[in-house]
Amino acid sequence: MVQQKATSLPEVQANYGDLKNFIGGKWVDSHATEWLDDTNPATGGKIARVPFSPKEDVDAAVQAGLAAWEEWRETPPITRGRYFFALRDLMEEHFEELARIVTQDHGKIIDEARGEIRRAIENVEVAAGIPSLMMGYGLEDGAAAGIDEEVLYQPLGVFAGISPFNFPAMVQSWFWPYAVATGNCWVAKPSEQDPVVQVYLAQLIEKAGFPPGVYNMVHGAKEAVEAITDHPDIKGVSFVGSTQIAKLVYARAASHGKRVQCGGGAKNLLVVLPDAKLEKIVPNMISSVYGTAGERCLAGSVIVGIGEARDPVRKKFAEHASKIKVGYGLDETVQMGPVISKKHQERVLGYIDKGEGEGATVALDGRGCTVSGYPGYFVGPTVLDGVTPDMTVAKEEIFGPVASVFEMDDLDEAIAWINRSPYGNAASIYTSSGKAARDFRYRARAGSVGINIGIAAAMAYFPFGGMKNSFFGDLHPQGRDAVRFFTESKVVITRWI
Amino acid sequence: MDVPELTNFGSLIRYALELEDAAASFYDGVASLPSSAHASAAREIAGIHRDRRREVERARQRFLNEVILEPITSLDGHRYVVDASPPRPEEVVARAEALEETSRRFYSDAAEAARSMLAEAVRTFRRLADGNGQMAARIRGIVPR
Repeated sequence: MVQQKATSLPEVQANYGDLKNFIGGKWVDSHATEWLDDTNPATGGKIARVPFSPKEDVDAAVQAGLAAWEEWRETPPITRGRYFFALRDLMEEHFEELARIVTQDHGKIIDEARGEIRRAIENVEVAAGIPSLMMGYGLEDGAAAGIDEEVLYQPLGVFAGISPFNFPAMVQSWFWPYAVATGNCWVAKPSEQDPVVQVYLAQLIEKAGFPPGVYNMVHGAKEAVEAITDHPDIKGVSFVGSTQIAKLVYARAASHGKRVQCGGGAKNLLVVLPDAKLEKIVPNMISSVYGTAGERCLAGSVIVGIGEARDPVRKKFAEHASKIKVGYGLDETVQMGPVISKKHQERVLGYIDKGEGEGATVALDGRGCTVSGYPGYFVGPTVLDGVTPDMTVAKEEIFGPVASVFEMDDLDEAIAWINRSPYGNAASIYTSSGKAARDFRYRARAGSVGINIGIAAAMAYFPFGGMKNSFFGDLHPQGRDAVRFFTESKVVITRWI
Repeated sequence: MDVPELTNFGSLIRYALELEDAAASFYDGVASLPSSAHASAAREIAGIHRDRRREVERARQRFLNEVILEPITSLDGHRYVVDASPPRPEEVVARAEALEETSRRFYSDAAEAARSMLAEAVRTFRRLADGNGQMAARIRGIVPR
């Protein structure tokens, strides 16, 4: 069902002009010769121009970081933490503007955007506690009698983060607050498809008083990414994007001796056992599959009703999905927005065609979805039924509002499918059985596991998971993993003579 | 007021904001009645509802995340529609009581609906429901029938 309400929340600005880079505490023009029009996915209208910054812009940001680093690492952790308290207050103060920019630039509905800003704030809040998080440990007589041993965690220098379009505010916050709080400097490269909220956040970072050069931002695309992976003075790279690019970034940055953490794509199963409470879990599944128009690496994209659950799940899920209102996310009554771009819309629609062509039944068809007054990139909620493991839609990440419904006989078969999948981002089970839930969480090879939860999104103080082709690296974003990623351990053994 | 669609946590919050706006507007109306002997008290109560609105906004800012966008199916919007049009002097008390009771019912039911999702929001809703009860008692005390 498509519905549009005339009254929408006002946009913060209609147009944000030509975006600038933020380097060494100053807003500077890029040396770009190529620019991208950044569009509002609901209207298709241009809201900004994004420079494809060249290598020299990235280098300028790195040099600014290096210049700031020594003084920043000598700043006591508690003082560094105070900058994050100030930033946190500014983010709360500007909460609504941040959320509306996310909706305007990305397309997700306003409540999803508010949820995203909340997640970003939570990471800033956790990083503010850096004196506790960063503490080392020691042991008297740890080496021998009269010889003490301790470990210290030290920052390394300049790190960089490359973030995707689907959570334009949040994903950078998985990285940079921890990098900077631990005493490093940062170069952010936001997605070129929806970078405006990062500009607004950088303004708040500036306002919070972080010293110039501690946080830098460079807009761009492939050339900027390659400049980051190859730069000799960048100590490590954090990345989230498609598996294909994650692999490339991981290999290229690692070949230059960097620490790397790269999140990739996903194909997440929602498994429903016959003892699950359907009336309670179907709404949760709907939220998992269609939230953020399915452009979420934790989105459930494959629905599996086991045994007797099969038919009621299929029926109820399609029934609920058909009621989702599609429209511009600044209309507060809308429940699902557009996908990010025309190109991505065509990609998602292509997958639906392909699924149908390979034998799936289109039980709910989101093709041809239009919203009156908004000529943007809409795809309605879609359910592909009778999907089999050999179909393209069963194997590849669609990253859109499309659910594939599988038939499986038992939990073993579902777990085997999860473990065979090249992806391992998330998997969820719906059941009332503690034994089945325990079995699932023990055996499923996925970085985030949900038990009666469709979106197993780690809070800021837990690592954001991912296994197999969904994550390349060792230490994950957020929480203690992030603190370890951005620090080096140094052991000191002391004997006083 | 239109019948609200109370389909997820976000829509509960939106309706709570509408309710507080409507209540503030109602008491402003009471304060501006030509024969109102209790204009300042009514203005004060309108102010309390504006404060409550800010509390609801803070709740949205603090508690809304993507996990709690999942649909809610247990609330029937028809049960919570209030009449906030300007009252005639003789109906002030009855209308105020009805408004506060409807609002109390909404927050109580919303607390129940949000219970499985978010304990912090439940506490806010319950506190607001209690506030409605206290407000109704106060109205009976300060506005003559």
